[in-house]
Amino acid sequence: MSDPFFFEHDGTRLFGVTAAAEAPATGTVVVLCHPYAEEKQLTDRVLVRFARHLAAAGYGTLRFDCLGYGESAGHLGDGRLDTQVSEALAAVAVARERLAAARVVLLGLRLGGTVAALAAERDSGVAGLVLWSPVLAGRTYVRELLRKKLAAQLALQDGTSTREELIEIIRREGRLEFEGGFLTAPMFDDLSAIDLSRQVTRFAGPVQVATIRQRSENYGPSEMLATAYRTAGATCDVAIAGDREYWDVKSMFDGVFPEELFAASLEWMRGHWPRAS
Amino acid sequence: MERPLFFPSNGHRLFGILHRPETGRSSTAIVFLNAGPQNHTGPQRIYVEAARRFTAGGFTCLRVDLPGVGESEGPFPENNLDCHDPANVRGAVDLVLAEGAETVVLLGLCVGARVAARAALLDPRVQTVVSWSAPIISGAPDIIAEAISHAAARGQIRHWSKRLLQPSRWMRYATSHEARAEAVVKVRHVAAALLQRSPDQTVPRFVTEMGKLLGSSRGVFVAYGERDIGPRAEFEDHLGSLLHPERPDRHLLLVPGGDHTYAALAARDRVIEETLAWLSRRHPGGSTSSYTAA
Amino acid sequence: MSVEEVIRTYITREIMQGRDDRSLALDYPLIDEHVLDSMDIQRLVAFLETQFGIRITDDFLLPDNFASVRAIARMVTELGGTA
Repeated sequence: MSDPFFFEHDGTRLFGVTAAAEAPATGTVVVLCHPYAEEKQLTDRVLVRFARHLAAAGYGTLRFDCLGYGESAGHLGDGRLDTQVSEALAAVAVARERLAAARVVLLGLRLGGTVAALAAERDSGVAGLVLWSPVLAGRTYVRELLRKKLAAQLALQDGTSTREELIEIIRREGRLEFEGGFLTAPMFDDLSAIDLSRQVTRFAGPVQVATIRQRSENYGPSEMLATAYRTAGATCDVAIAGDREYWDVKSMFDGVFPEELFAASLEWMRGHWPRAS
Repeated sequence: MERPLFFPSNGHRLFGILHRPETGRSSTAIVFLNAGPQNHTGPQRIYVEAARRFTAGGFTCLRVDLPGVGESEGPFPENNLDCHDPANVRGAVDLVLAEGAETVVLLGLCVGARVAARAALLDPRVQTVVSWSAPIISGAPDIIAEAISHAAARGQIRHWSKRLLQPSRWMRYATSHEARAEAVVKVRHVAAALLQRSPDQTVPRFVTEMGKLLGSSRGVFVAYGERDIGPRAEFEDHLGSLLHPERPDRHLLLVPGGDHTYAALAARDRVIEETLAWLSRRHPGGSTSSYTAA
Repeated sequence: MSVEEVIRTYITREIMQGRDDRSLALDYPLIDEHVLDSMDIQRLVAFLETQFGIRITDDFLLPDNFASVRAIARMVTELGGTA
């Protein structure tokens, strides 16, 4: 049964939904970190469904909305990447308290995966990480974001700025209108600076990095992240699951769920934190 | 004040966020219905923004997740314009009336606008409908319209017949769960189109239904983005003459720079502000002040 | 099938969803008539890159290059794509 609620963090009203584990519980709670901007809406169904799978498998869950998202206060662009990391850590504390968690695992999708990884670097109490297609290289990611803006501009005939001109707008005006809010200059810099394989140096717990099958069969970036985790003392498994991206508009309307990914992550969770027999 | 809650509706347990104005009580409540499979926040969070502004303007608002969407239980809605059963809106109307509203407005964007119109026809307690970007016949990209013609359905079958001759296609279905799931969805929709839609049917059902709504005494506010060419043209062609915008309980808004979901902030602000202004004029007892955007 | 035909078939079937039974003219103004929204353009770009083995850089995301089926085909050919 879901329990929606508001909680305060750093003077900001945030929203969360917990779900208690079905008996017999494992004592492990999963906090789910959402993607950036409109990807959050497009993948809401994915995280809701997986949270239900987790609860049925004995894992309590907490899904929460960062500042500027969902039911939380503010607007897209009000925070920075570090704000989201801080909010993920606050959610971990809330999960421990509300669900009496013996252990908390962070799960993140896309930029949420990056946020989860960075949060785990700061909280040695995080028991494990599940990272679904995390943003590994910020420079590539911001190109992807700007490409979305270029496509929107093209369709709406809103001028013909080039990518460089969009970056110039960000620098000059401090922000660029993006998916119902703003991509601010500080957030642009935060995202551009992501180099996750170099940023994970401390977390030593179990990690699952999941990626979808690549046509090119190039899994180098995920393997680099796994190597970085192993160097830090973590155990890291790379799961290749699913054929298509599930964070776009077509996937949402088609109602396609990454069931292969769900199965892979559930199996991994059971392997590390099984139900009491 | 915003309060998350669950409530019963037509045998389902639905989720909603209830917004109450600071004054505490409002005689008019606005119920927001899902834009297809998108949850209670709406595309680019437009429902959150609108509800917060309407509440600041003195209205009670309830943003709902219909079955299968967002936090509500049930199977994920199918990919068509009428994926939501209007009978499921009844519980939301019950709720806002129980919270003290005397006047009920249903608001929806895209698919939500269709279900709002249909639900209003089923429930005499609904006095006003706000229809943002309602597709009248054809769907937006990625939505397979109920009114897919027999010709288009036959074209789909010819297209698939050729693809199914390719071994690589069969390999993909054999190895990919997602490909099989996607194929099942497409087959179901084409089959439904071939079975349900009679080649002799000349007036799509929703045109008739929306026509009934426009012929009633309900207030109707219709908005389209200036750049939402297809749906806007279909409305103008099939229903424009029934709107009678000279009536104070009718309004047609064309939003400059607006696309199907009013993604541009200026368009979003415009559709929200004009809707609020019209609702405030139509239901003056339901609002206590006009909101000025920051 | 020519490059134009491949593109026209994709747009008609996947984006217009067959809702217009008339054949899409090669010079029909796709952008001016708002046939393609931003999501369609992203999907179309992904399709073109996969189908023709080309890379459409940001410099090519210009209205002139997506104005019509013929314009898209011209861009694809310029980038080395063939039917």
